[in-house]
Amino acid sequence: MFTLLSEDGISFQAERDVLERSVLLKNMLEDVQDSSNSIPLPNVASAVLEKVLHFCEHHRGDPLPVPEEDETRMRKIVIEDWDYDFISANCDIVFEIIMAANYLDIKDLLDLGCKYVASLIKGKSTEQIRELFHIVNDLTPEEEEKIKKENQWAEAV
Amino acid sequence: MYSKLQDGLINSFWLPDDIIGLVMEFLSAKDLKQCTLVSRIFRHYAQPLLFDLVTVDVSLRVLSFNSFTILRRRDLPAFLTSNPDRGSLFKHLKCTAAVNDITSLYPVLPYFTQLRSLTVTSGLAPPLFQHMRFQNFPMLKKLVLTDISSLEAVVQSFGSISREHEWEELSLSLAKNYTENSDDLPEPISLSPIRTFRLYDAQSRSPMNVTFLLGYLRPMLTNLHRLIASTSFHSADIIRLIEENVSTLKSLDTSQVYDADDLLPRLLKDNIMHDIVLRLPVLPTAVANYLRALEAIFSDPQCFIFMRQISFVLNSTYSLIELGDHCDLWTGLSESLSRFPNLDTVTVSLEVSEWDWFESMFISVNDLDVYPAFDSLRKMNRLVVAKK
Repeated sequence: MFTLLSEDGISFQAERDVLERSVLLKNMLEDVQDSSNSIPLPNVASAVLEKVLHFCEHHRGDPLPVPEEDETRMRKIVIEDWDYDFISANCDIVFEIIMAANYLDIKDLLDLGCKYVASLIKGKSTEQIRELFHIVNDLTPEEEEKIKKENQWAEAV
Repeated sequence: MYSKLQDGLINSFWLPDDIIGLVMEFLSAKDLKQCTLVSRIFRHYAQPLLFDLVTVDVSLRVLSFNSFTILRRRDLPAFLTSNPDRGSLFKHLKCTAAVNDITSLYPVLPYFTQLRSLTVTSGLAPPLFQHMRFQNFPMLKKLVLTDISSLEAVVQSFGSISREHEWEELSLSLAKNYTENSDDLPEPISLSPIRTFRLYDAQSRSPMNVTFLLGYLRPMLTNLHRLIASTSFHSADIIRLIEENVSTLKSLDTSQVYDADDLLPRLLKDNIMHDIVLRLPVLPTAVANYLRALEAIFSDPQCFIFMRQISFVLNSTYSLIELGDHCDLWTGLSESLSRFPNLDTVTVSLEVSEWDWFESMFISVNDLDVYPAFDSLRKMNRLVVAKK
């Protein structure tokens, strides 16, 4: 068992194959001989780390995601049942989970979080997307007009 | 770069901008178009992805992609020359048979600097390629040649391509009148191996002869990861190609019945295959033997941890009586497949036969939908029944 230390000082214990879902931790563990030392994770809060470890625990033993053979991106938002329940139950901290997955380099969790956020954007108007992300429109009316003109060729049929 | 937040708001929805870029990779063109108007940073990530979906299809009177229609073909050169940066956003170019004259495209070809795929009728390919300086298209990795009527047309097309150009994917569609003969056999091509090869035969001739074509392309076909060949029922050329790439193939979809005693175990033994389409023999006794062999091969799920998709293609002349007789075999096979740790789907496709006028004797999709042998897969939501 290895011990992880969250940014707020809470310890979590997990087995090697669970932690190896994270490329960052996998690389760190290769250098760690003595499992009695804690591994500090200064960028991950305990509430998030707990969820991340829950995800890794569930997916322990799964083959690690492989890069796509071609450049065709998966456009459909398909999420497996367990993963969907997991990310929905934690939607209030989904962005923190995404950032932790990015920091720890856990590709399947990062993809899951991004798919979930993409599903929130889907079908929304420009204004609704701004509201969702609390984003100020920093485009000038002239720029907006220019973008609309630039994409005018792509009018919906 | 960080998105600007509204003053005084505590933003639970806050992400670094590069993550916003990752999120957008899962959005459709319609949603991406909305995103281009949200803010500068959203536009920064959404606009290139929006253009990434565009196929400039000069075969049509209007150019189109997804649910969008873009400008008339004759307006394309002016559209690009008025703002050359636009050309770098387009990733896919398609010039197919409906167009006789694509000369107006030649002057604007250099603008397509980020081109990744090129689809062209073999008749248009030689003059088009002569006007392309392939060293100016470093991202161009996929070539689709359609309506190929002869080996000579392929040789002429490749004759204009720089030897240094590195392709990853080649797709060839043979016309109905495709022929090859032993006169003027060309020297094998001098291009690097590719990863993905697709071959479509419009006529599904039997026996299909592509010996010289594959011989010419052989240097490109020695390290295939993906092979899709929609050809005749039995093609010694395709089987030979599979044999030559048996240790590298990860994805295989052909019209062939693979030898379950020899070729199939060799294909699957290294546990690298992600998806495979298995066509079953037509003769009922051969089907039974094939299913037994498959069950033996698939008995250890840990040998198939990378397997994501398996498809079985059944001929619709497979009768209800045979389906009943083979129930135990299908049950065993389904149970083996249901233990695969990462299998997403098992597709059972029913191939429509020319004998369908006799259809009351043969199986239908409805029969497969309720076939109890597939229960273990059905319970796991892994089963898809389809008509091919």
